[in-house]
Amino acid sequence: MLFFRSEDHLTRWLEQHDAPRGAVLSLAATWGLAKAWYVDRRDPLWKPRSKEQAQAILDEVGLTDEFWKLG
Amino acid sequence: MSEISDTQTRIRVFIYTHIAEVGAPPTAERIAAEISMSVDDARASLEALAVNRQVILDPTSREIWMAGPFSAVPTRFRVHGAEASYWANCAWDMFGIPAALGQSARIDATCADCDAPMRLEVDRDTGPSTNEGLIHILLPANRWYADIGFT
Repeated sequence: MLFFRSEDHLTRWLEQHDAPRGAVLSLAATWGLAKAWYVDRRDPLWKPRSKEQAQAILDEVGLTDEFWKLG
Repeated sequence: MSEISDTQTRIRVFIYTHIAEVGAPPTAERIAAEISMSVDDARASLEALAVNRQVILDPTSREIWMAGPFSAVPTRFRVHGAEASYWANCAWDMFGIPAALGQSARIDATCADCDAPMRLEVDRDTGPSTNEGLIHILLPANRWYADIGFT
């Protein structure tokens, strides 16, 4: 997952790398996702998540469209 | 995914404590000293943690390469916390580090297109102080599930 200064920079990078456009998140949205995902990582009781548990986190932070479906 | 033993849990907690304190993961030798086990047993435990996707090991040295959201090697994302500075695996993880540490942080990142440096302040409660910039995720989620346990 890469960081870009602006939409113009992302567009140029995609063209130069002949890459399809994926999903774009604001910094605020990425913070919300990162916080939900990693807040308990240092907890001794933490365990790797099942697909269902991971999907629940994505849903919880509003990432519900097809791009974010784990399948 | 195999069962996670108490020893593996102790090692994982130590890995994160060590990273939080010094900014880099411990070597197998350091883990062995901390847990009072042989280096061979420490290496075997790291392999088991890797099977469970709790860490990713360097393909050659078999030392810790990534323990999400932390990277053992330099990346585009440097996170400065209260106790140390850290490398993040990706743009998602640069926010994952203050989240995992429960700390506010300053992030030095670079634009993937032009390499321009960008400094971001992140408050542990309210998040980034600016919304300038964006994150691009190339692959849809159904193509990254293989790594989701770690990610």
